[in-house]
Amino acid sequence: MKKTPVNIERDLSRISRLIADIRYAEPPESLTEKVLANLKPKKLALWERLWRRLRTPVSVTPLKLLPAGVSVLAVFALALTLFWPSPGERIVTERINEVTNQGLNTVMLFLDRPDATDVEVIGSFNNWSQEGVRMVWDKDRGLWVGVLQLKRGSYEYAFRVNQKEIVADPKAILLRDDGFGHQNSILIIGNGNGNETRI
Amino acid sequence: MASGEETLVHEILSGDVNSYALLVKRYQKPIYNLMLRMTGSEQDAVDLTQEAFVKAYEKLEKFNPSAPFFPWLYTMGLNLARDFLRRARRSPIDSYESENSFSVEIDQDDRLADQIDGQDVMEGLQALPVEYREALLLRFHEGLSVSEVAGALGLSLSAAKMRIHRGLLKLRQLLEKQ
Repeated sequence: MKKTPVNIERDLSRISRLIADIRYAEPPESLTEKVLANLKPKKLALWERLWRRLRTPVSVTPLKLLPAGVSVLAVFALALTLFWPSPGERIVTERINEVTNQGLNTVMLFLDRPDATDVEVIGSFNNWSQEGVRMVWDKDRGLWVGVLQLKRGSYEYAFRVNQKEIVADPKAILLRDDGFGHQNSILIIGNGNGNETRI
Repeated sequence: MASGEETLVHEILSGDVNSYALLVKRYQKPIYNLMLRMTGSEQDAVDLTQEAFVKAYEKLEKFNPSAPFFPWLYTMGLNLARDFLRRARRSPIDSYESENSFSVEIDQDDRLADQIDGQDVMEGLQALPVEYREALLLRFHEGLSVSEVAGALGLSLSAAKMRIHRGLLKLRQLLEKQ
């Protein structure tokens, strides 16, 4: 059939649709993890942070002010807790500082399972030992809280709920199949300054 | 800019590496496939993709957060791939075929009607010069606007329009020969 301008345009349109339908190859699952392992958290000067904050557009509506108000109250409440801690909390803080001085990073993990009676963190940090790190129910936050002290590196972990149920961290961005029907979360510890990356 | 990216960039610059993981996950696929097209090697593609993301992170202070992130990242990736090929004294590959190479979903009825199928388009794209191929993929596969394509490829707006149109014509010409 002879190609008229109309036919050519039709071909070009068809070709562009076929290009849109191309299915790309999947990158390896570990790619994000490998990229993140090479990054150090950025440290901007105070004036740079303020300047960037000022340049970031903020839209304010009455509805948006509500969570902001709640956040301010939450920060205020947190400050109160920090400045007037109970004796028990003071001991925990000292212990964290002591370990941090030995070059370890303190990592806090949270799990929202108010129905659970017992939660532990298990993972590659102790070779998946049956003895997990016990998490504590924080009734103020309404969350289970676990504290780990880890060296720099990449770790897999999961939560063990009520001694039997294995659950991945719902806040982790990257998960890896463990080959046994569960998924593990990935945790990357940065350059020893306490900045953890949970992906 | 894709939703929330400006906030993500702000968080990354404030020291939150987690937020960068979201950008990596969002764009690793097109960047990995760019590297595959350029090198034809899955291992080189993985290495170059990682390098592109690390470099983009290191240079993030120079990025204008109100601009779209992907064209900026893509420019960096394309330059890295070209440098890699220059160092290796290789040309961008003419064709790359593997099980993991890209494929096309084909609508059988349309294919019969138009006599142009997805496989033909794939092969035609690989045979096109890089500058045409990438312009077409950015415009039609990634869905970038013409001005974003211009930004990613370092072209003026009119040159980008011309590049896309000529690319389509060249691809059609190749398909006619097949």
